[in-house]
Amino acid sequence: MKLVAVAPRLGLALVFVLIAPFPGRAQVFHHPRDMGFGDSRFGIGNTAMFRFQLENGLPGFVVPDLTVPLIQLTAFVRAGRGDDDHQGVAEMLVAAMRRGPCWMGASGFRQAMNRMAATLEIHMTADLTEISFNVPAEHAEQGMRVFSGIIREPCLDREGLEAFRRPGGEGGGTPAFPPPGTGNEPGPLLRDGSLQLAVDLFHAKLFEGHRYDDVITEQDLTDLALDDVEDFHREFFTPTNMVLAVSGAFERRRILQQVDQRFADWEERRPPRLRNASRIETPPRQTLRYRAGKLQTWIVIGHELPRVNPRDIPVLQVMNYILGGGHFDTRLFREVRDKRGLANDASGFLEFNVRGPGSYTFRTYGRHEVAQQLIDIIYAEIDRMQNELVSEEELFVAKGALIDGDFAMRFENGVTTARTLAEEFVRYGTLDHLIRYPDRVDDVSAEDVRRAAQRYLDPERMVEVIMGR
Amino acid sequence: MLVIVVLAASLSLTQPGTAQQPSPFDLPIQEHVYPNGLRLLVLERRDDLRVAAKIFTDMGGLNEVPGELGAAHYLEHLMFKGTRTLGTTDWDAEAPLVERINTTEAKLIAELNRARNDIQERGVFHDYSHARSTPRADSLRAEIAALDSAVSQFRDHGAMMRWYQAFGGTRLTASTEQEYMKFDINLPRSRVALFLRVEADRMRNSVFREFDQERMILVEQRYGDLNRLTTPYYEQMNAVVGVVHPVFWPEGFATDFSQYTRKFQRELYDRYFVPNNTTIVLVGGVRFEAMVPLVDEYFGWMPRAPEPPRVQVVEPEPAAERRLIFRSSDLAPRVEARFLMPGVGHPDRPLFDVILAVAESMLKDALAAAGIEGRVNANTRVVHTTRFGVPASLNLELILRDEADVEAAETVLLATINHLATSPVTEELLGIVKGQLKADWYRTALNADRLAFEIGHFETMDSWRALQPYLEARDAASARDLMRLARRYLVAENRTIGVVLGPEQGSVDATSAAGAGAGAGAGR
Repeated sequence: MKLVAVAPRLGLALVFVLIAPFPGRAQVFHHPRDMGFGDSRFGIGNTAMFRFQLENGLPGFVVPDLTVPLIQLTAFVRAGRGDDDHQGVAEMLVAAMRRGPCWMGASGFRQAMNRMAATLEIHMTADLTEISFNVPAEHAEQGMRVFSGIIREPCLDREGLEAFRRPGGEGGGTPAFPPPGTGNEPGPLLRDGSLQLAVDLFHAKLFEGHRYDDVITEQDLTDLALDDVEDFHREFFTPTNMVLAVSGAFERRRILQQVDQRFADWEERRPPRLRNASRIETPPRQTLRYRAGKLQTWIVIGHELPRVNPRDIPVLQVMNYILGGGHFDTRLFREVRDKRGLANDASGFLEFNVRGPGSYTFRTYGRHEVAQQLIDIIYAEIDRMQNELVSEEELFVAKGALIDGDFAMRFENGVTTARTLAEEFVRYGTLDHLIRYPDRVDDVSAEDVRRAAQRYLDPERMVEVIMGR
Repeated sequence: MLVIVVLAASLSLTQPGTAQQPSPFDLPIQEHVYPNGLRLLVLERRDDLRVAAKIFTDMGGLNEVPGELGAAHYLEHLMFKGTRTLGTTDWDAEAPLVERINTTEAKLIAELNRARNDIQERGVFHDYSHARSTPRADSLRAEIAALDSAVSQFRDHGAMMRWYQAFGGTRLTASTEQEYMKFDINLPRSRVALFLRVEADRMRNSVFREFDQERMILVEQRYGDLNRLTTPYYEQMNAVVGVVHPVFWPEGFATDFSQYTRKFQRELYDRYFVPNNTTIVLVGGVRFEAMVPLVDEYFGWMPRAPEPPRVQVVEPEPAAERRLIFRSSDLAPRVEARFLMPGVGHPDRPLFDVILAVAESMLKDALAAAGIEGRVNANTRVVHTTRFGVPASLNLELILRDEADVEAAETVLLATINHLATSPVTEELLGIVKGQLKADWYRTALNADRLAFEIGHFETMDSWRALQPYLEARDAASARDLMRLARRYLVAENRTIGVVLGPEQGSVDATSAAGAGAGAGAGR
């Protein structure tokens, strides 16, 4: 469905021309629908020119961008918290990588990072790890050496293990919470409260006993062995189990030489055992209550999101965009904020994982006395999505926003382009879904949206975390 | 269909290092000032498929009055409620109701003025929740609520956002800080006219709908601030550092939110949202020559208005060190030194970015050398913002694991500051810090939205022309410059020390003591 075909159905143009208090000039009041924007729908052309692959099988994407003299190096690895056999092993590896390559020593690494003015960010989900290294172009060669060292030779030593175990350290910081109040019980009083804490508690409950459980206990820390971390690294951090994204101010041939120099001699031992995680059978609706001595109540309501076929992602995103997709014009936002002044925000969050279940949550917060109203509105709007068709205008807005907005922004510059291509490739081993995404969004109908709401939302199986008074 | 190959192909033709830049911070900004005073700033990036578009108004928290703090921020919220052509299904039917709301509110204001001695708040802080009123004021409020309800039947919610989103607009935000209000969008470059159409309308024809609902959103946002453990402490520090300047005031106290009126909001709007107080910034794939007439089409009709009043407050020179003891059972112990420093536009201001980073590095080393467990929080933040066109403060905070280390940490803090004034920093450290500042700037400049913000922000603080020299001055800073700076500003008379400790042993809880004295009804 193309924009030009939709516009006439939205009604006749309303053109307002009001006379302004300025002689000879008037303000232009064309309605936005009638400003002739119908011809632009973002799409991807040939991506083959960005692709490379080393002889050892390591694939990647290289996108030059001369806007500023920086280089961005990113590695996506098919390994996450859910892939280790002992709780805390994957997180310990992340902590070790943050301490730099073993041959530099933690102190030498910090000094080198300072001198290069480089930055390192590592983000791990249940089944994916992203390592991002940014460095001024003048330090490209040294930066590439350090980057490859972080990935290939992280320092898995006793000092790092002790730092990981220490209270307040990366592993030792997982708080132990008292059991919640359930039903109408008020629950225990927490020392602090926040929306993030409520989200963490939701995830802890949803994934309790599952591979994707990310809570690390004192016992897990005690049991953590360096050998396990080494085995994990050896198994999953291999050339064919990762994808590189390289972007910035460089000449393609020269940067690829550097990539080759730092990664080509990395031998593939054997393919990792990539396992799919089981789905979660969420029990009937349950409410977990906590008290926090704060001015607002935080609410997280949601359940498991089963593994979604990538072909179904567009319709799910259209549905969530209309319902609560994190912008100022969702149904939830209008109901809780515009119409009633109850809360600053209420949004829906789709969290996909590749090899196992994710979650679909609705999050909001407001003064204590409106908490129940907020919960009721979330359920009422879910009910509307499941039982009524969205309007043509809602569909038109969502499609434009997802294709010409969110999707196009993923190719905003060289850095985002390389990252998008690499992330897609590491997830699915192909760019086909990415290339076809705009058309698939365009094809979504109102009936598709209702079906997605019925399939992916189940009010009877929601876990509710309520943290407040 | 636009394809990303176009972007990449054009980039890949250029060899590295061939871009001839006279300065590592070269900013080829082009300016056009219209006869009505509107300023257009364009930075072309011709390969970009999108454009970051922002409209800055030179007004903010500095332009508020005590008792109605947060009013500028509130105005920003109201400017999302639509205009006469966006946000309503029938303006002709709605307009008479809006007019009746305004006349009823005028009666309410008159009634509150008439009864001022009867309803004046005479309690102190623990009595503030008494909402004194009169029967006539209550009746007028009910009338306004009923009219508001009648207006809602014509409401088209979300219209100020919807069409941006439908046509690919992202990162739609707005923010109000002490010195500016801005609205932002990032659009496909072929649709920049949508930004001009919507923002011209927002600037001249905003209708303040859902006034009381939005008032509660301000309360919610304030609650969100107060939920952070550090907010009460930082606000107390600001109150001690600044004696009179509104840059140090918070975004509204709970008692302020009920005071906002449509009349006051309308006065703010009419006074400041005029072309000669407005700057449009475009960064991305647009051409300056094409933008000049296009902007004129949408904004050129607006007449130049009287120059809005400017804040003339000058923070007096401090005469002695100030000290705040803040007790909290929740907040980590800490010790902090704050120093008044000049605003952007003063030649010393760029050097403060350098000395801040140098001090942070030295303090980390000094804490470790002293065997004190803790971390350094060095910044120039006041409320949410880190740069101002007026004097603000440089803040060096040591957050500690153990309260027993507070005294030793203060010694470390003051010794490090003294070292900055008495010994030149090493060339190695200076080089590292300047390299990091430069790299951070490049990370900002890569992102069109962040770059557009910096350009607009400098224009409201001083001038967009000051941005590039500011970056160059940081890069040229010498060890001698930093020593001079430390001797001039980082001195005891210009210093405020903040110390956070746990509750005093044997202390009486202030809340329960006040509650016992105030009787029933006090407190929320």
